[in-house]
Amino acid sequence: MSADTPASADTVKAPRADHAQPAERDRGQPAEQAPERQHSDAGRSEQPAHTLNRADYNAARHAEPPIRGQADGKDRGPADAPAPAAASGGDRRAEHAAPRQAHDAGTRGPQGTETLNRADYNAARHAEPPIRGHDGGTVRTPDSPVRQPEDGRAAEGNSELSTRAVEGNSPATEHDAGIRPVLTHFHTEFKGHSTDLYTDGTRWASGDQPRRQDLSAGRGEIPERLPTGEDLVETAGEESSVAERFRREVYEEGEDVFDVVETNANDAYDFFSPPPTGSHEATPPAGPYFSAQQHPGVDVGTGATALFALGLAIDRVATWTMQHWEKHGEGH
Amino acid sequence: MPVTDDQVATLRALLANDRDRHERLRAGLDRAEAGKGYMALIAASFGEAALRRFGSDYTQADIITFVASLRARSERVSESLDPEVAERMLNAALGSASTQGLSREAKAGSQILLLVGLIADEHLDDPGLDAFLAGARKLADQILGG
Repeated sequence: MSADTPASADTVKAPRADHAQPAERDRGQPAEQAPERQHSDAGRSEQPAHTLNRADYNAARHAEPPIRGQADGKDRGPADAPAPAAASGGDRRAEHAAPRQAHDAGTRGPQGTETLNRADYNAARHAEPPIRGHDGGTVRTPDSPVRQPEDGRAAEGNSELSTRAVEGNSPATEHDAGIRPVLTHFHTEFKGHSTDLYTDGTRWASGDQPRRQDLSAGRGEIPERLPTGEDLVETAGEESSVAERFRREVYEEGEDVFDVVETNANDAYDFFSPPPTGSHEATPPAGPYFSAQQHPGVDVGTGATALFALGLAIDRVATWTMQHWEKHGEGH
Repeated sequence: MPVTDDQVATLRALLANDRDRHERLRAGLDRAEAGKGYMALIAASFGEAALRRFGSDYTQADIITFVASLRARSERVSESLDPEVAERMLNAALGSASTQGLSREAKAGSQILLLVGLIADEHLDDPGLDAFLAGARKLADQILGG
């Protein structure tokens, strides 16, 4: 690619365009194949597929309206416009285009754009702060090109995405030489929300869950993520746990069980009745036991004797009284 | 569907040994509502009474002794109250066992006997019985609300 080659869509390409040809990138396409790709990109940007010299290109560029971005609809400046002019407040798109060029140059090596010289590039780089990772650390800056993995798999994203190699549990940095990345980390922030994606080339996985205190959107606002059942169980009161236990283990509902309850309720009235009478049973004490003295009862013979003695005594008293009255009565 | 006043009054008459009033109020209950609210009130009352009787410091011997004493008080109760079911129901109410595997009829039939036996032993006066039923009603509403 020469300096005359227009940057065209490759310079201001959308992020999706970066992912459109991963196989090409992964194979480490040689620099000689770059013109072909330029032509395909040029087709997307409605540029002629054949190679133009500078004069033809400038003529064609001035004849056509500037390329419009899809998102904001702002005019895209010419890719070969000097970056200092863009940074000074000219075309805003061109201001962002410059670091992206450098970004791509860092990731694509020989296929990167060569439209900026060092002075232009440095001016553009200082106009835009380096991309920072999720943990606040610098993940990749335009002047710290991403190391190419040994297997040629490029860890690459667009300018909003950062990449870093993750190997095992050790915090990985891109500057550690010799570490072969097994995972690629993509990080982006949009409206204050960060998204982390990890891929090993075949699968995608979301990043770590945010901490619990990050779930609340603020006082008086509905949290973006409701608490899980486990959280609710942990914060449940003792009273509700007792009710839950009774509901699970004791409570039975239905008209059939109501009938059973009322049937047994009639039996339950026995609990309020006096305890049943019975003979007293005492446990004999351990050790020597002296029984109480036996008191013989009154048998029939003894009773008859007693009655006879009582009758005899009464007879004697009556007889004595009769004789005494007759004796003293006749005397008066 | 919360616990109604009639359901509370019916259970109160049973626990106060007012048989005539209990039977009269029971006949006036809506069976469909009683199948939920009255049963929830019985379950809550049984659980509360078990916690009051045994608390957290109890042994299995305490439970076995209590069930045996209930069965010894009446020939009819000894026939209708299965000791194994009764002990499991008490342990479940205290949180140390599960009633899984017991039939619905066995659970419902044993808990009313155990409830009346527990309250009969408490010898609660009228304010005490009212306070007990107020707490049980609150708990029953939680059971129904869950």
